[in-house]
Amino acid sequence: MRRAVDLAAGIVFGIVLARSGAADFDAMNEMFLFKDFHLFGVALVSTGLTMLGLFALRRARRRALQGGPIRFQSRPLHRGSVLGAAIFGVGWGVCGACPGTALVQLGQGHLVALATVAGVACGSLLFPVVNRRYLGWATASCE
Amino acid sequence: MPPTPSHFWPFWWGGLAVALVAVGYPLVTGRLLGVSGLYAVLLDRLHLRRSAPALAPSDFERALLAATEAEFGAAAVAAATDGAAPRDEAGERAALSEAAGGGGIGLFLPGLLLGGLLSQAWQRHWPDPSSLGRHFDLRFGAFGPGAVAALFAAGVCIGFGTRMSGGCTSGHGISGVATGQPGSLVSTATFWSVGVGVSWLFVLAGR
Repeated sequence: MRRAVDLAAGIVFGIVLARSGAADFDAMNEMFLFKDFHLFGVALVSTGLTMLGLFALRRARRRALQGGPIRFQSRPLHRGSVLGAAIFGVGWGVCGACPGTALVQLGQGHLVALATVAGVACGSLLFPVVNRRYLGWATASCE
Repeated sequence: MPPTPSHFWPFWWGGLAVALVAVGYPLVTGRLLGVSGLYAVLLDRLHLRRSAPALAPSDFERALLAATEAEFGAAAVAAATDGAAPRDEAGERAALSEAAGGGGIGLFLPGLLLGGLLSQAWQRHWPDPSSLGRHFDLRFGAFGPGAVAALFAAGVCIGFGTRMSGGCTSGHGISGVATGQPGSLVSTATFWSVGVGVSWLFVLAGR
């Protein structure tokens, strides 16, 4: 049941990202260049409504429908917050994708996005190695 | 170049839909929405990533009791364990596995791919597989090794940077900002600003 829920959630989110334009390179590029404010609008509305929804959820119930507590993960500021985000921003600016939308692009038939997805996977594998060997930073993710 | 004609949902509907997922997902699963960490989970489950060995709940408890006895004495341990209910070790393992990203969480990423496929199939329109759009063609020219290498390098930056910062546009930008997390507010402002800066650098370079 848990597997079906996560698969279904991924499918729904993939459809939402595709139909809202968040997975579109051209739309993302036009947002970055301030030529079209469509995706800014999506971001502002989604963040605002999510804020209200999560606030209400926190007050309404402690346990998830599948069982277990609803965990509101804390994300403190840490040494990797700025540099990591900057590195991500470079990649995002170059290819117009994030970890999720790269997969949506691939599913939409942009086979060239396979290169992006492969890169994301490699980067995800590379960071823990670099962190353990050279940095030793506590980045608030389990590595 | 004029803006791309929009065949997307109106921004307010797209934003509402994202919010419904961002609130519905934790309501059902207990986990806030966040995609970047799922790559590590999926790679772990495909045995492509070395993860830390899991500690059995009973071993963990023994270590905790030993530390408690060392600090507070045997009486404190006796008081804590007196009348304790029998352990459900299998249930506790399952709960720990779920908390660490077990269960079905690894299927979220394939779900995203399927969602893109279904969305395109519904529209009955398939794009050029070698391109991401007209701005992509302007920036990288004809499809070739250069474009592939640039996308791969960008992907490495995305994967590396999101693991370093602990989140991406969904984890930081939606869930983290919506819950007022300081790390998310700083990271989101940073990656948005850098994304804008990089795009303008391409424009200045004539791409």
